[in-house]
Amino acid sequence: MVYKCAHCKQTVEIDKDLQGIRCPFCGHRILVKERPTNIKRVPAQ
Amino acid sequence: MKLEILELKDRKAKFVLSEVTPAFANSLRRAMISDVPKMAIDYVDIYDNTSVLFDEMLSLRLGLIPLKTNADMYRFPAECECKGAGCALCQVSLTLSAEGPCVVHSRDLKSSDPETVPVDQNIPIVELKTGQKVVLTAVARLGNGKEHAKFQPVCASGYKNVPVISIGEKCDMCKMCIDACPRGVFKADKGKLVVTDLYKCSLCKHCIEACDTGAITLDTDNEAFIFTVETDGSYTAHDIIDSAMKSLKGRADQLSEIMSAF
Amino acid sequence: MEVKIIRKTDDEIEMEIRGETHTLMNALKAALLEDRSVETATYTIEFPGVSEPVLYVKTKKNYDPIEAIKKASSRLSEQCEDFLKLFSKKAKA
Repeated sequence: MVYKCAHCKQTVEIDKDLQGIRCPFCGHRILVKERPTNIKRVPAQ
Repeated sequence: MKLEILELKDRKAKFVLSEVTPAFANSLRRAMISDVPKMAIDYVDIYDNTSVLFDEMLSLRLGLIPLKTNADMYRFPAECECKGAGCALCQVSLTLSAEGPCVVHSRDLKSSDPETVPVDQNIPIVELKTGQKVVLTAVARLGNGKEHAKFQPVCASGYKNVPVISIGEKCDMCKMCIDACPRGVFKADKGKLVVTDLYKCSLCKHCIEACDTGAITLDTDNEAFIFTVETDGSYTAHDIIDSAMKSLKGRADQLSEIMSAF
Repeated sequence: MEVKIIRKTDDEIEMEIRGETHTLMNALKAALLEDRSVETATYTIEFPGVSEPVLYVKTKKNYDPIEAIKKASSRLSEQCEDFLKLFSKKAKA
């Protein structure tokens, strides 16, 4: 899964179950999931 | 049927319709609210939204932006040749692409039809901080007020009855009613009490309370109505009134036709 | 608009007018009540927002209720036309 480290802002690819939730570059344990690239159709109501 | 137009501007109309049934007046009022077709954003294809508003909230705000409407140029998607799939005859595309820091306004929407644009250029949509982006394509179509409030072309559509104020012989010109009236409906003219502007009366009855002799009586004319119409700019006031009445007539005609077949 | 006759006799009719609201129904009812040969006219929407309006008309002797409805809807249409003409004239002034 692709995440973004909240601290060093680098894009990180980890498997949360194997390596645990931890940025491999700076060790920070808060990762943000970026918005998916697909187009979302939302009704305006 | 009598009609007196008190005010007819682009965005507002005030008129007195008399010698009609309350049902007829109400039907006109309702038709203006829910039967006049109006362009509004129906759905939004979001490519990117990192603003503080979530997708659905941003889309709702876009849906509520009043768009200038030329109903002759478009059809309802259900009645269109494309059968609702979406084409140039029933849809208008508006795109928005912005990156903070800025405030995104309605003027930032770029329409595929230069006539179908936001009525007001200065409506704030969302505030973006540095690095926040909004990239989307919004699709607008015709709809009516029955379906969703965003399709209502009027901000205000209502009426009140015309008051009937009678000043009897018991009036002793104490002038207490002139002071009591919050709207300035009465004045003294050559030693007699007269009504200055009947349509200003709000039927609050302060004059009756102030009068010691009981000379003033207040009633309403049940077949005369003072209409106030305020549009959101998608149509002119004239066109909304016209379109609403045509819609009512269309329904009556349709029923006549169906009944003739029985 | 779709009309479905629920019940009809010589002087009464109960019919469903699908897809309509008070906007047409109330104006139609008022137009029907102007007709002196109509004994009574009313409509009901049993469950507001969910059910279709049902019109009920009872006429006086020898007057077909369908004829009464035909005339009333014409009368309503004429009234609308009167307004449109009047409005058009006054708006230009």
